[in-house]
Amino acid sequence: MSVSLFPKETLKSDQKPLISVRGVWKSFPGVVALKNVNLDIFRGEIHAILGENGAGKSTLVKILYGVYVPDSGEIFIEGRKKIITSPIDAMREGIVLVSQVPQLIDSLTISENLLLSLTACGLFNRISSVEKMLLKKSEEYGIKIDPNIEVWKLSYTQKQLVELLRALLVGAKVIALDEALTLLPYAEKRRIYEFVKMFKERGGSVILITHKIPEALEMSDTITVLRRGEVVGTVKASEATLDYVRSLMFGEKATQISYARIATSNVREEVLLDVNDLWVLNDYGAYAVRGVSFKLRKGEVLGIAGVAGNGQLELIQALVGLRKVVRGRILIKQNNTFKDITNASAIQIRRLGVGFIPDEPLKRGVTIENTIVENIAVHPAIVNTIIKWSKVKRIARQLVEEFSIVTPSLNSKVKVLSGGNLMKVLVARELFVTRNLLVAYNPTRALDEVSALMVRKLIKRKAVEEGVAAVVASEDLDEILQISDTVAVMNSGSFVGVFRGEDVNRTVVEGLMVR
Amino acid sequence: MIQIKLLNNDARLACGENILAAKTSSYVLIGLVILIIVAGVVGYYAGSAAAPAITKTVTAPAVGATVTVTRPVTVTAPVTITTQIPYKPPEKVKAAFIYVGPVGDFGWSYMHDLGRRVVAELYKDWLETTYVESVPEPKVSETLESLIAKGYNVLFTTSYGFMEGTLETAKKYPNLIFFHCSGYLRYKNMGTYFADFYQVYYLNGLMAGALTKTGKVGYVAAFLIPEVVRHLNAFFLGAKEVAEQRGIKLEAYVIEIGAWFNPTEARRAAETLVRDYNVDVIAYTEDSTAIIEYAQEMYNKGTPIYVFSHYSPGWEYGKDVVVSGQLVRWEVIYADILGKIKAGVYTPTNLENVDYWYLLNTGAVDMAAHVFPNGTVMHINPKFINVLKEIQVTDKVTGQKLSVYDLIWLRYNQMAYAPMLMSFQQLATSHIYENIASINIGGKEGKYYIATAFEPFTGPLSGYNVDDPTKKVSIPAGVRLGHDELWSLDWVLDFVKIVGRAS
Amino acid sequence: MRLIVTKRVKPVKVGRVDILNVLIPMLSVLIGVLITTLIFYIAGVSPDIILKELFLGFTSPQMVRYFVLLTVLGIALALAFNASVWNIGAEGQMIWGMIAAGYIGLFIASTYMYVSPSELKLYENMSGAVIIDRSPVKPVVSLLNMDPLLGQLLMVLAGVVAGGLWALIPAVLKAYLDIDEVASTLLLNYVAYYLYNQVVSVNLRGLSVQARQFFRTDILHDALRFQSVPGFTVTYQEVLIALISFTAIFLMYKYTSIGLRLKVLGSNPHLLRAVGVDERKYVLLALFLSGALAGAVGASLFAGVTYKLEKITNIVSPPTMGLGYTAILVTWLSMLDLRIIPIFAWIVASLFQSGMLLESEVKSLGITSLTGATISYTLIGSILVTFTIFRIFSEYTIKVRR
Repeated sequence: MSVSLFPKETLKSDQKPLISVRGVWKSFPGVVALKNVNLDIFRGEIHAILGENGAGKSTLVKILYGVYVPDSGEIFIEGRKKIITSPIDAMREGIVLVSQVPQLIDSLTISENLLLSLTACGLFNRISSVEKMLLKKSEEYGIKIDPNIEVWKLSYTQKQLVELLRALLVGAKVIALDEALTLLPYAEKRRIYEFVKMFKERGGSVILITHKIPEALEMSDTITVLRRGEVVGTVKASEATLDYVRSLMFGEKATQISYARIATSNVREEVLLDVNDLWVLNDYGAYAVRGVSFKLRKGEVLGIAGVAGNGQLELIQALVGLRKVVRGRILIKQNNTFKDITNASAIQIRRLGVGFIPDEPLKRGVTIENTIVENIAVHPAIVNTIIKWSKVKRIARQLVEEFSIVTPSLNSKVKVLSGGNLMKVLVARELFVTRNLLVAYNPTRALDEVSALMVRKLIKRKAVEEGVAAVVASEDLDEILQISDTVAVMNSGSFVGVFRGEDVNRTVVEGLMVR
Repeated sequence: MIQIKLLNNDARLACGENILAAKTSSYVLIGLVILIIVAGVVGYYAGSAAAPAITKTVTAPAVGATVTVTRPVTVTAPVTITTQIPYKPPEKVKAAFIYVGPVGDFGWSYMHDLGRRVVAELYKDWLETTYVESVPEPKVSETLESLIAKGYNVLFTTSYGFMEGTLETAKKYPNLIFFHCSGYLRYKNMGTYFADFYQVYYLNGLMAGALTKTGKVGYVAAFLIPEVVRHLNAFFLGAKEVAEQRGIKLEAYVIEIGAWFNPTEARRAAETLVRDYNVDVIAYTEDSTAIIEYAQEMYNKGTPIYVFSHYSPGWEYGKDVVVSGQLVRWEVIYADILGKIKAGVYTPTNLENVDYWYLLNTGAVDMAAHVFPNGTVMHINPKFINVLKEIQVTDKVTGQKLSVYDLIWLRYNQMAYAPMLMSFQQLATSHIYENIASINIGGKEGKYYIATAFEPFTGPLSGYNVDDPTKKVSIPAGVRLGHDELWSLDWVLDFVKIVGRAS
Repeated sequence: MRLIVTKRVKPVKVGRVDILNVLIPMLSVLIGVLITTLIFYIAGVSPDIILKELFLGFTSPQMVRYFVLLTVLGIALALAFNASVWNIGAEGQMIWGMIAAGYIGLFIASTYMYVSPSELKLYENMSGAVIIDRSPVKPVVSLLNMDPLLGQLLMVLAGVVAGGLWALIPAVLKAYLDIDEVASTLLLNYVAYYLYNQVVSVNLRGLSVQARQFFRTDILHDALRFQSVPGFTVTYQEVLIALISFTAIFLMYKYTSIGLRLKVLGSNPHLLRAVGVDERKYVLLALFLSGALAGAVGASLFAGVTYKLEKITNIVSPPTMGLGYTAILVTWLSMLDLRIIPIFAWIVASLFQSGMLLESEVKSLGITSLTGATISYTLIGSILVTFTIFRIFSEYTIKVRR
């Protein structure tokens, strides 16, 4: 017989939490991820869990979803003690997790994917009835969807929507969004917000995992903040302020956080990169970059602002040799002469001391099945044919300390790291190899505010002290304004405005972005 | 478009992912183990129900003998020890047989195993046998050595491809006895043996010549190697002998399929012969019953095609179409070899010239369509006896008039009766005497007959080389081909057309 | 009470080796043996026979050759599999290794020629000459052209190059045309078999009577054959090939960026491209190295086992004996861990050997209800099935919860 901490008679039905987590501990090799965590999720509530990178947010929801089993502690669902050891268990209890990575099979259609899930959850069904259910639910939520389309044809946002619909079809009472919105462009995030609110109105609960305080404040009813595996506070969103939450999240470090422009600048006269009338196609064969030209001087940070999907990604990829240039030229200064690197291979470009922080960190930035040391050694600029492991380890140790990467050891596989620490490994490596030029896309995405600020300062320091030039494209306008010597606004494949960093006007930029 | 790789680590988040034993009640594991055991037992009994019953091959030591047989597990040391110790025939002969195919193929390996079972029962007082089947040719050395390590002292390898491996192992174990079937390499402790069908094929050919209506006969050959070339020539010689007397100009067609066992190709070759060359009698060298089954199908459709079963009796697979066939009795050779080993006649020092070349006169081969359970041999399918009796021919040797049926039996007896011949058929050195028809010993006896009174391969014969048709061969009248010529026969009779070759 | 199975987050290590990767196979062999013993006991074979034959199989000197060859092949496949290049084509690569070694051994390192029967005596005692056919009409003599050790080295090198080049075909198809290598490597095995038949029965066909009669080459000069280690069937050269390839690949993985990139190719090829490494070249490299090692095995099959190339008359029994497929089993059982491959090569080779020994033993007892392959495969099957079940424990941990 299990002993309930909340005997039924002492709780009124409307106050009874849907899920309550009591005294949960979980440790991984070298790290205690959760320490005595208590949490209550109520019906019809959006509950945000905030925390810096590696605070244990994901671990907590993964325990609820049965991916991890806690070392100790108990989980009660509707007052009954439950042991959840697999996602299937969790789904039977009505808990569904949507993560950053859509768990869909590309070659199957939407309804086939959903049928798989339903079958796995023991809800045996036919494809026709799945379609019927899907159409009913999507109509209810105002989403247009063709159940017979193959998943690979969908955009990332559409895939995440399918994930949410899947949650509805398996009868979710609680949907946990584990950084599920982090990678979405701002406009499309709104669509998901709508969805979440409708779900809430119909009595559902949502657990929102994020490291973005404004998002939490805007969306949620309750905010729980985790710091280093411990709950440091639970507040009503309506009563919380950004500063208060920030101080809960970062403790004394919160005071460091600032979005003021980093004024130190040391732009040299010498031009390093000369991009002239660049035309680049996107994946669908349309021009994504239409005649972009700019000159970048040593020590200069060029920030490219813009709503996602206006050609920033294609421009960045063309600069590092990962996308074919149709027209135009890219020249880089090498030993006082300009070298044409238009359509040069990535290896030729990277040999020139070019660092690259890519758009899809998990795909192009790190290899999660390998260790931190190996993720650093994989870069040709760091190792020769014969690897001197002692040297690589020294570099790795230095980077781990410098970026305060939370890891059990240098030889831990990257997959055990939290999303933010994983991003730090990538950023650390790329900044380390940058000698001339840094090309970055959303360099601080998935980083908490303190880490993000540190990365921005580092980029700036490289520019000022080493004369490195940087092209930074970011969807975060604060970031652009904070570090840029020059701000370019990109819209529909062209630079629609170029401003000096010190006299840029935020409102003007925002206007140009959405024009 | 953002596309993110499905990560191993997070794949478990998906509901669709099958989480291995995610919630395993203890029953599942136990269940699995029980399942394996049950499946194993059921599989075993299913297997044993299907397997033919075979008598036990080993019996306890003779009554009163208090011998404990300890099997030497260690590898017999090479060369050194044996030369000093005088050889003594083994107390207990332990013979191992290595087959290239499964014993269930009803062809080559099956008949060897039949031979093994006969001698195992016959000599059970002092003989113990085992076999390993389906041995890949490159693995023969390891297989031999493993059996040697288990104490086997007489080893038979029954595929041409085992030749070099057997020789090498024989050199390594000079105090053991090896016998290789169908090869030509010998050593002081390694003999060779073979039972050849060409005379039987000639007899089958006589029937074919009598039965063909279209005047066209065919042969499906595994490979155009001397053994098979010899057989097809003999078959066509017989067919021509009878067909000519029926006033038919015989046409002969050969297709090579390039495999000893390939039912699909064999059937296809037979179909081609019938469809494209209007052939109505077929003989073949291939280890399946595919051609018989095909002929029976054709018969059922109203187009009779007659065939001769190969290697093992095939009448049961085509009672309306199998006229006769070739049958081997390896036990004749195995009984001889093992008996002589036990008696100390064959030793590991005197096998260099032991080369069995057994023909119809030895009983190791026979003309047969079927063997009845009581041991009676159906030499010719009774269905065809009347037809064969009706056709009258002249014996080209004696000029005597007789029916084809009588001619077949006359020839059979001529070839089966050669009491002197067998003495020469066991040694490589004496093969040269086999083709001496007779010698003059003077005195009142005068001519003394040695070989068979009739030999199919007797001149005049003319033909052409298999690989190079421009190379003509002609054998003068009266000359008999002997062991060495037949062993390396690489030409076909001039009226034989090779219409299909494998690569 | 419930048993809860969860994924293990940290390996159980003793020193630097994941001890469960070693213990679990051993345990499952043990249990597999018990199950087999039980099945056979029901069939009437006493357990002591099975245990004895198993023991003999695992210690028999005849097993060593296959242990050695499977080790090299296992390494070859692990090399490709670790790079997520699924090389199912070791068979074809071995075949080309055999052909290349055959060409070198039969035509470069030695020469075959007809001599007149009267000259035979002359060659009988000549060093470097071997009479390979004493036919009374056209005897054939083989003459050595070079130092036999050099000849052997050339044969292995030729095998390495040929196997590697053959593997480059699917590699190019995969790297530059994105054609799935599982299908292409598998199908190319059969192409290799047929090309081998063509080459052997036309281009390399020998002079001796037997070679003319049975689509095959002449037999390799005695001096060029690999020498077996006394008491074993395995040859010195095979052991050397295994030692060198194991060491070389191990060092490559541990100390070179090539090894690291091959590993990363397996886990995330996009990363390689993004950091400026042409991942297509590494696909070529992975398959080339894999094919090269398989080619070396092919060369040693020619120079150490068959000594001749003979037309494949039955496509299910090629001269490679299906070792290329057996090696897939070895590699998977080792979980692609290089250091564990020799253990499984030993276990698999021993199981086949035990199966054969048990087969001959059971047959000599006259128990005919167990025929041929049934015996070997019951044994191998029950051990491997047990293993796959028990392997769960190396990746998952089991807890008891109330």
